[in-house]
Amino acid sequence: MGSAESPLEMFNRLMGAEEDKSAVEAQIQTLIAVIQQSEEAQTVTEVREKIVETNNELMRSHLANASVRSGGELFLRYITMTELDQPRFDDTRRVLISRGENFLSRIRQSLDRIMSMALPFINHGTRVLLHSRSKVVLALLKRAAKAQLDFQCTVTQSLPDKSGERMLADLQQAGINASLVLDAEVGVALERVDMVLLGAEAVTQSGGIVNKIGTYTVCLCAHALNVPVYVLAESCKFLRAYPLNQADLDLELRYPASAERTRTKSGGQCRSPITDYTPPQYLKLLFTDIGIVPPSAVSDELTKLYL
Amino acid sequence: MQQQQQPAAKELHSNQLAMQVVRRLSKRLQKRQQAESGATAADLIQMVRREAVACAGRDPVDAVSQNACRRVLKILREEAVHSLGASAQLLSSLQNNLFSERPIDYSQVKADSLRDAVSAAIKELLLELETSLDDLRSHGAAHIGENEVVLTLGYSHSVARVLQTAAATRKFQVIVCDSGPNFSGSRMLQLLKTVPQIDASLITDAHAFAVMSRVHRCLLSAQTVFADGGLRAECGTHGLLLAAKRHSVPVLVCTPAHKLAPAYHSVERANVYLNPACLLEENLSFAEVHCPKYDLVPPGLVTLFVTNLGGLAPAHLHRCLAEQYHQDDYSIDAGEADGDASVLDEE
Repeated sequence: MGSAESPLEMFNRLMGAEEDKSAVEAQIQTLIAVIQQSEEAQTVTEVREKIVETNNELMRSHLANASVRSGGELFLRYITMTELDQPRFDDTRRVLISRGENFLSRIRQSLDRIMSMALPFINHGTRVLLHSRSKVVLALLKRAAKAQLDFQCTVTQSLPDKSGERMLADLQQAGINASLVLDAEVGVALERVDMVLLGAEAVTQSGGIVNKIGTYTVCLCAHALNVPVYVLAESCKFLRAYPLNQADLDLELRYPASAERTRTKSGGQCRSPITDYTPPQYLKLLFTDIGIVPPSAVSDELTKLYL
Repeated sequence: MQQQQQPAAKELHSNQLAMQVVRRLSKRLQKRQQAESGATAADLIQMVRREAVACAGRDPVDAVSQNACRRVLKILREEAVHSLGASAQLLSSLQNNLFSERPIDYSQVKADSLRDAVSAAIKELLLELETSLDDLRSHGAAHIGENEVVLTLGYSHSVARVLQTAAATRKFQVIVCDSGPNFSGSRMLQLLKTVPQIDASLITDAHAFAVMSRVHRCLLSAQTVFADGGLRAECGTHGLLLAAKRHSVPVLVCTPAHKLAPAYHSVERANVYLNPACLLEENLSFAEVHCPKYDLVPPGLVTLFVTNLGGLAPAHLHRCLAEQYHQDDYSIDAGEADGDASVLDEE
């Protein structure tokens, strides 16, 4: 990061430089740079405060999503749990940076692990329903196509940003048999599919997921029609939040940074959220880099980590 | 040697089969360690993995042999990790993902250094397998109450032992479904008739739905338990479980933990098809007759899995799996069995 570049600018630059860059990756790279540049900090607490400040700043980026919150919290946990009893703070700083790079390399490997676990679930003749655009799901389907598997995809258009259309283009470019349906058509489309494959912006401690608006509806319909819902999510997306319904989901996660987050009391315009929360009872299995787990396992993992 | 042949193998209980595999592997490991002085842990692991592939090739439906190989692999990996030092972590979890220093390199560990630790661990494993059915029956018997009506299907050694143990201290009624096509239910009935406190009766599979409203508990066994809670069980189980769900009757599946396989019902399609001559007297040339031996039961129908380690809710199967086997051994590809055709002959 250049001397004049703020963490927010660096984050935006990293996200813009590469297509489909993982927000958590960009965030960790930014945080490592922040630690490297924090020469005036001479204690771990000061570094920690700087990281918290940076995370809050990054959440205000229009390119950030809910995974930035979980990634930041995990990184902080990482920092506070290491053995840091070097006599000079510069050595401590070096340890923090090397641990940060270790964390980063693990995140980069997690995608591959998820794909190898999920691939056996796609066979010849499998019909999949997808919602909006997910980088992880796209990578999995491309891998399945390379393995010469003959399957069909149905993608929802996913308003308001029509990200489903972008997903359709990517799938067709990879030679995958894919078609587009309207968001309202989901109930009808579910009759003709064998499973629903979703990504997630965050996985909450309850085992539910925070994902593009419309996911909750898709999962409710799938549950009613006995279609299994599988979620592909890296473990760095595990978030320490326990929403019980839509209203419990933080405003910060629900609305994009650029929109007005506060709802006006006097009947002012309430903008539609861009994410929703899907409770765990509608999800069959989560494919993460720590294994294929039922939604109930997320709470165990987070508790083991934070206690 | 004669245990390799088909007829005798059918009579083996699952734990005996598992013990057989473990003993065979143990001998091969020792031979390898003696023969090759430069052998590393990675070589041993590779050898056991190839054996697991060979087991799958011999009998795709038999998860117990593969699971036994996985247990041995876990032992090898654990001992290798201990000898490398405490910082290398074995279980894949969020915590270990963040805090472990470096990936584990098994080729750094010499096989000689593992010999004593591995043989001690294998002895413990054999003891656990030997006593698994005894542990299972004491855990299972606790679930049957006085004067209850228990429904079961066909003949299962585990279920028979559980019922006998429970009958030692209380009276209850057992309804046995006869379970085509081999009608093993009558064998179960003969056995239960010899137990004084059990009032046993036999019904056809089709009658199960009709009696279900009077049943307190369903007690079944399975050939394999999948990680998502699905089962591969005797033909007729699926229908029985659907009837139980309809009447909200709790379903207990008694299986030892070595039948728990890291496979998924949505992916597994392997089944055994029997000769329809056991059902049809004449040869129907115009019809296609399917006679599957097992039902592939989808998840969501079992209330509790009773294992030798205790009761296990379906939501916690993955935890039991993670404790028993290492995550890298969950899927063992056929591509690894390159050129090792002499696996069976190395005795």
